[in-house]
Amino acid sequence: MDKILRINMSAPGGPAVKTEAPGNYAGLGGRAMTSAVVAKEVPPTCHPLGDANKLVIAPGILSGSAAAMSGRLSIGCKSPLTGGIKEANSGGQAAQVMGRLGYAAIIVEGKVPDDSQYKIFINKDGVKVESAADLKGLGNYATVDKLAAQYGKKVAFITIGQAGEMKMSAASIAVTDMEQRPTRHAGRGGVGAVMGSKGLKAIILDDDGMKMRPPADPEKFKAANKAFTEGLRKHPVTGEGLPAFGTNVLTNVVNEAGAYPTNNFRKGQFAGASNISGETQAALENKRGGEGSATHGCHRGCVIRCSGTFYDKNGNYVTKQPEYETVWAHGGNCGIDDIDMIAQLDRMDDDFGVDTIEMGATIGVAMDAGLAKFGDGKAAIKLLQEVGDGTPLGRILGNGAAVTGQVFGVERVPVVKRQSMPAYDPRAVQGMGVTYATTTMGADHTAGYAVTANLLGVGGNVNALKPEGQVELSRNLQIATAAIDSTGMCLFIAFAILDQPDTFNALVDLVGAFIGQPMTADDVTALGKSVLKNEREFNLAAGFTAKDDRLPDYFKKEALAPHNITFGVKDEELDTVFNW
Amino acid sequence: MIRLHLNVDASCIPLFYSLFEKGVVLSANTGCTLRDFLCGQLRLSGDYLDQRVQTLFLDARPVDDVDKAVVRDGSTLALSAAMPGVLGATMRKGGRYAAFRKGISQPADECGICETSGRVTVKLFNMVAKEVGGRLLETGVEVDGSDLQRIADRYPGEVSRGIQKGRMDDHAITPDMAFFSTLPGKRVLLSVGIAG
Ligand code: SF4
Repeated sequence: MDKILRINMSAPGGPAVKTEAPGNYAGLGGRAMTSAVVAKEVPPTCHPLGDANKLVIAPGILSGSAAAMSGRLSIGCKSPLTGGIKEANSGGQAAQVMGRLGYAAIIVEGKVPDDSQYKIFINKDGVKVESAADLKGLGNYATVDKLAAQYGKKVAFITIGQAGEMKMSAASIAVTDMEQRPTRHAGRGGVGAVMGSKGLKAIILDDDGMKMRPPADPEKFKAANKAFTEGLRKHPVTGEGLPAFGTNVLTNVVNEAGAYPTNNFRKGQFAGASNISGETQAALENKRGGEGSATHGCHRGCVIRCSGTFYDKNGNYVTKQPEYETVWAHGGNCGIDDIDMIAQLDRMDDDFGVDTIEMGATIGVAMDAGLAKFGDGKAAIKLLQEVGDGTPLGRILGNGAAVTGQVFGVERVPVVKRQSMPAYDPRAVQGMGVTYATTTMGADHTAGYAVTANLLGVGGNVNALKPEGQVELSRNLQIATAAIDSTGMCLFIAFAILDQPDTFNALVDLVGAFIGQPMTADDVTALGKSVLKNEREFNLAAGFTAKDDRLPDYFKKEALAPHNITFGVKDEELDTVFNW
Repeated sequence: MIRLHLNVDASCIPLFYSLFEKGVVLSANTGCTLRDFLCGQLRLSGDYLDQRVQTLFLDARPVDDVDKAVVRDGSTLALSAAMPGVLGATMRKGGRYAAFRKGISQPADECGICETSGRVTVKLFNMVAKEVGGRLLETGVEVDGSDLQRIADRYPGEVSRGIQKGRMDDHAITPDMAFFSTLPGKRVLLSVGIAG
């Protein structure tokens, strides 16, 4: 990946493209790339939908190679939802194709001066910008159908739906999967609104005639990739649990722990959990059958295959297998225990191009405001349709839970930095609350997701049972996650490398053999820290203070059943997370 | 409570695993440690408990030490394999991330209390349901009749094809959809055997 593509949407006479060497960004990938460009080139106080913001799309450093699991795509900008820096990442085919085409990043700058819309076609011969007037107002599915008719079935698409065009703060960017469906999303923080504000509807990536990216040391790379893949296959989480049940395998466990936010974070257990669990979902998918039903990958080269395909009772395709976060957001969080309805909501989210977590949380807040009853799936579908239709109510909902809570006077709004919390109540899992409060991204579970701090040697050894352990753990996890997000690796590799030192070593060898210089744990730590440093500095300059690193008040006041516990981590402790 | 025994095709056994998600009730010797209960009474091997069952909850509290937590009359116990993500790591017994959920963790308990027998609700999730569920169904578990009806509603074809015969309180019954629709509102001591 030896070049960066810049597209200036403000250029006189229509968008202008320029290809340049990576310069100071050489060697960066994924989140390290997006956050470095945003921190360096975007004025922190700019309007997120204005011409000074930039949309940065970057594959991981291993994307486009034969390395297993390396197909995550990072998309960064200043977020219209949080007002801070944003990296949202997605599976799908685009990262691999972009890597093979040799682009370390696509940076979309400026914005069109009117309401015109464009698409960008990239292949081995170069870049073409064309009008996308015919795609205006279309959802992601119809957009992809039209593009496929023109460009064929072998290319990858990056698109926005109606929500992105309407510049809603919950808007996502869709990435097509192996079947060329727009089911994978860079969901969080309104990245789709930034793409819409630029006047960009679609990017078409065609790697016909391009080869896999070659490793610096092919022999070592091959051996490490084999050991890494075998490690993933033999581990019970990555080799059995995730393929069989998907991420939704978490529903029963989180619910049992009393940490499953129910009815807009009013309770920690949902009576209907077993109706929407991963076990129930997989049994239903297996019964209904169909191509890729209960076990499927979101991109080529995934050996875990946590995804699947959801068909209705008549065998018609509905959507990809809804993930844990989606099932929770539209399910338990809204009191809905009907898996078919949840799948329909997921399909609508993907089509309009909105973040499933933000929309589920928003509908939960709307239900709390009395716009619908908890448990009423049909009402939830109606509310979501308003978003796609762009009605005045839909525009409110499409701008997320914080806006909706404000408009309807709801105090119980589960957001940090105006971004909705995901599917774990921070009163029951307080360490997760530390991450929600302090991450640069706004409430985000993946921010503190990944790899054992002890294995990486990040931040020294931690005594997990010391009372203050959770602050250190959150810090270390955030550092490790930022590093993994930069490789393009799917975070689900975490368990296998956590438990199996030989698999962890295989991963380190894999990266080292690819880039041609050995990696150490110190390198990983330094990379993660540098990403977080860039992001923290951007947010500080954008006006964030320690007061933004807090959970909403009600988490400290309202006890959560069944454990009857409030969030007890002190503000002073939260303020030490980034002391390293 | 009614006693119900079903003879089913082996392929039908997984239909009943959903009973373990909501929980089945077992009569048991209580006042013992989790290890004693699981290995001594549920007949899990020590290796299976230590290696496969990575996540345990006792009364909704994650357990770190199966040799210290005590099962009592009325306890609810849930067993799961290792789970993904930081949440999975957090809930794991004795895991590095236990500090993340210290507010809800199961405290170490005093063993050797005077209880001797009681009723324990057992939940089995994911792979553990597949691996342990069949054995518990064979020996008998107490469930809600409405949960059996829900299985019949969800899988009518499989139920009518795969459930061969049944006995209720020592009388032969025809285990068809009409029979399952009579079960809601009743507690059922269910045992399931493979038709041979
Ligand atoms: S494990 Fe799941 S999310 Fe990760 S790459 Fe595979 S299918 Fe995609």
